[in-house]
Amino acid sequence: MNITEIKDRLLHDDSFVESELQKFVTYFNLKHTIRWAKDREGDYTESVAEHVFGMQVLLNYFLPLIDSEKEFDINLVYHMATWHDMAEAVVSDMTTKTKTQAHEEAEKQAEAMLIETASDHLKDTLTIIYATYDVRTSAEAKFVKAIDKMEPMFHLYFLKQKGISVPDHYQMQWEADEYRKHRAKYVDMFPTLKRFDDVLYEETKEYYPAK
Amino acid sequence: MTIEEIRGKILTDDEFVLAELGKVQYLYGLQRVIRSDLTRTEDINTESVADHIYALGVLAEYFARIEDVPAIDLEKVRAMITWHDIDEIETGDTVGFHKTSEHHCAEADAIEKAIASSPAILQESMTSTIKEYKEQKTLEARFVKALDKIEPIFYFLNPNGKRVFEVSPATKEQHCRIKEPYIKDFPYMSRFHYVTLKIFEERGYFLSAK
Repeated sequence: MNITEIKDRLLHDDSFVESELQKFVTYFNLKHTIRWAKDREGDYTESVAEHVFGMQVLLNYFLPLIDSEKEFDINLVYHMATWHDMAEAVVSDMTTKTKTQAHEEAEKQAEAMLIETASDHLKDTLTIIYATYDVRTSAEAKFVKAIDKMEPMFHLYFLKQKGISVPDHYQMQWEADEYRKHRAKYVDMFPTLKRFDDVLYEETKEYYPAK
Repeated sequence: MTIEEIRGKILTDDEFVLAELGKVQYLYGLQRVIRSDLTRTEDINTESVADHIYALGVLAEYFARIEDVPAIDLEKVRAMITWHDIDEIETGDTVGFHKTSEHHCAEADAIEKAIASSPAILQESMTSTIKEYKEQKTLEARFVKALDKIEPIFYFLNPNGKRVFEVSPATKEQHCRIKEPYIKDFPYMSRFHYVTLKIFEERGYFLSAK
């Protein structure tokens, strides 16, 4: 199947989208494959590092579909994916729903501190990455942000397919439609991503609190 | 400091190596930041293969600038990092020095199965990327393999890492045997290995050789 055929099937064939989703479930198993002869004994939490891994898998898949003309700066795309959440190593993770302006300002300060304290040969790169990602005017930054917003949907689907009871482990703070509306700002400009979002919304809406 | 000055200090100054190691370890912090307002309660902080792949991405950013590899194809490096452990979806993780020829055969089967189970749009690039990685002929393949071997020292050099060593013990010979053949062509990675090796010995990380 060539890229045009794959895009066409994604847009018109639900069963094809579902078969593609199953493949991401396979990859996401590496979030639960534990090294050094250890296990997590029923702990199904997700680290930010594991989220970044999930984004890298999704970037590999969606880049050829979305940037078929190969106009994106691919190195910049992957740089942004690696570093976009690094401020959370300083200020910890906060869900979008509960994030305050004070938290956003703290993240900005954390990014400045990360640049300041980075090894000297990384400082320039980090300065460019945060400036590009935070203003979100470039095609690359918009694409990485959309992937950042979609990755949790693939993660929820992964948990569902693994038979993990999401309500027992995760407390959803959004109502399903409210969360979908939030994602739409970032995702809807990319038709193939939107298509996955539509399917994943239906597959996971049972996990969100009712209106 | 210029790149040349950083390189000079890494090659001659153990304290500088440890300071750099501390900065990179700080970036490992995202392995411990748990999403969705949750916490992870563990006796020993574990590392998933996904956490390891994230860490390799950070190390690639660091060492691609430090090692003298101006012609390296970073796009290829990143693809190799993402897919290099894909067989472990099927086999789980096995500590390197415990691997037998049976493990290696199982890896080959698992890679085949993982690629066959993958989306059509990824299969061709996965096949060529993993083949190139396994053959270890190109600069990118050798660089990623060296990163894969050096990555655990950043995870180990702290009290948590010492406890992981107690659960999954190794002799100094085992620790070095699976690293040194792959890092020997990368002088700056080698320096991180030899500086930390001294500390691992001083702090009693290793099983005594019988």
